[in-house]
Amino acid sequence: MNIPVSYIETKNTLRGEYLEVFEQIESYCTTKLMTEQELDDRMTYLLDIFAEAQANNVPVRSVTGDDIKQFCGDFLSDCSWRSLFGYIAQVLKRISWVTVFLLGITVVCELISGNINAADVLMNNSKAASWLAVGVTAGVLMQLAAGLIIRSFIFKAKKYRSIYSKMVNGTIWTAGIAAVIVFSFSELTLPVSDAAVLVLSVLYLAGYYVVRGILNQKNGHRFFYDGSQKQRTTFGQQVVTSMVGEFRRDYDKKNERLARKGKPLMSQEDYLAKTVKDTKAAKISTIVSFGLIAAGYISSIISVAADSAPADTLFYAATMVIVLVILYFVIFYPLVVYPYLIRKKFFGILEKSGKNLFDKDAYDCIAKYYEDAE
Amino acid sequence: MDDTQLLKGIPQGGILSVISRGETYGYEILSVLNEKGFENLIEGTLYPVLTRLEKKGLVSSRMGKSPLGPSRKYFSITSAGQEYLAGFIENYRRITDIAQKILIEEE
Repeated sequence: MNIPVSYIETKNTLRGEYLEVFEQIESYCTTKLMTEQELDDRMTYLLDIFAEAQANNVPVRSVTGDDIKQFCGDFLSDCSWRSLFGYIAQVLKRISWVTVFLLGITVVCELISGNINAADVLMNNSKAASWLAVGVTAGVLMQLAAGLIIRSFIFKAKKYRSIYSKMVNGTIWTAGIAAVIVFSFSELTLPVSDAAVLVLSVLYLAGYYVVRGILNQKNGHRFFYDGSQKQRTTFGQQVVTSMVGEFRRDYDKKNERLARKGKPLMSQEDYLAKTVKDTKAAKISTIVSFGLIAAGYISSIISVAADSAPADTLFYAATMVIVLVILYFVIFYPLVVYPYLIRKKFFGILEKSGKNLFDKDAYDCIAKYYEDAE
Repeated sequence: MDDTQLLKGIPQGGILSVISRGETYGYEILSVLNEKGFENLIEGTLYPVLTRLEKKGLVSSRMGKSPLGPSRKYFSITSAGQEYLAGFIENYRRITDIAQKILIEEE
């Protein structure tokens, strides 16, 4: 079966102490900054060992020893400055792509609005895109500091791991968005132009991919190898296989909340019925949202047509179509349409094979679907 | 290989020896080593040793699927690894012979 799985998608094969210890080690590993690929490789290796120990009823401590902290120290003993450097290089790559994208959008919007000297926009002292880069950089530094501070607490209580995990996920983008808000409501600018930031970002990206390509070839890979050892399949296949774990986790969390409030627990049948209902509701909200946007678009065309010449109206309509298409593919499709399609596909596959979400071999049933499709 | 490296490299040699018996994976290597008595020595160090062996070209790896769901990395010994292992075993025998003569004679 060629479905690639990041360890996150199959972490829920573990239960009880196996999952608890695995998450402790995972949290500890994330405090040591390394590339995503390196973290994924380590955790995939560990997850496989834990899964087999669980299947053979071998105590988890016979895999890790009694001292989990010692185990983590040994497990990460080969993490050197190279891992940290790789992490920083990867984050700078992302910041550079975001900066190039945002500054590119700025120039396109200026052109659409008729400013033929769009490039001059970039010569002013730096605005939102560069502030975003500053914010994200600050976020990375905060994340590094948080990791160093919280490392010793990771093994003490689950709540520290949860706090740290939220911090890792939220810090960078919170800092980036905060920086953009600060720019928007103040007169602050950076003493460097957007053009300079754009050039630096492009140069960095070029350098990053060239260096990575040279290292790839030295290690016997093709030039544009991205470090992933996962076999290639579509994003849809990966998401569909991960939904088994996602829904099960959601079911466990809902029942934990009900148990804390002293309410009766939800049965699996009720949960499945509710999930199917939510999927239908998602379909309706998708259609309604798009309908509202389309209605807004048509009414704006009508109001422009009332006061403008036909040629201007046509130009306005064409511009709005381009903007709507970009908004659809960049925002609406990934956030609204695609999750709905994935859910629909997921439940369709399960229904076709006569399984439900909680069946032991639900994961295998999804894997078999794609195996048969190949 | 000098003797300092030999003493540090015993777990590494042991792991390479297990891999030389046929394509294998992490849990299987751990189980074999635990059976032979390497229990407390290996747990956290297995991954760094496997990574080091791969970087040196002594083992190769491929990703596959395990019957339990997660991805699994399988390791095989390379020809360079075979040569290294043969040299390691020879040096190991030499140094244990020497150590045995010295320690037993001293007793």
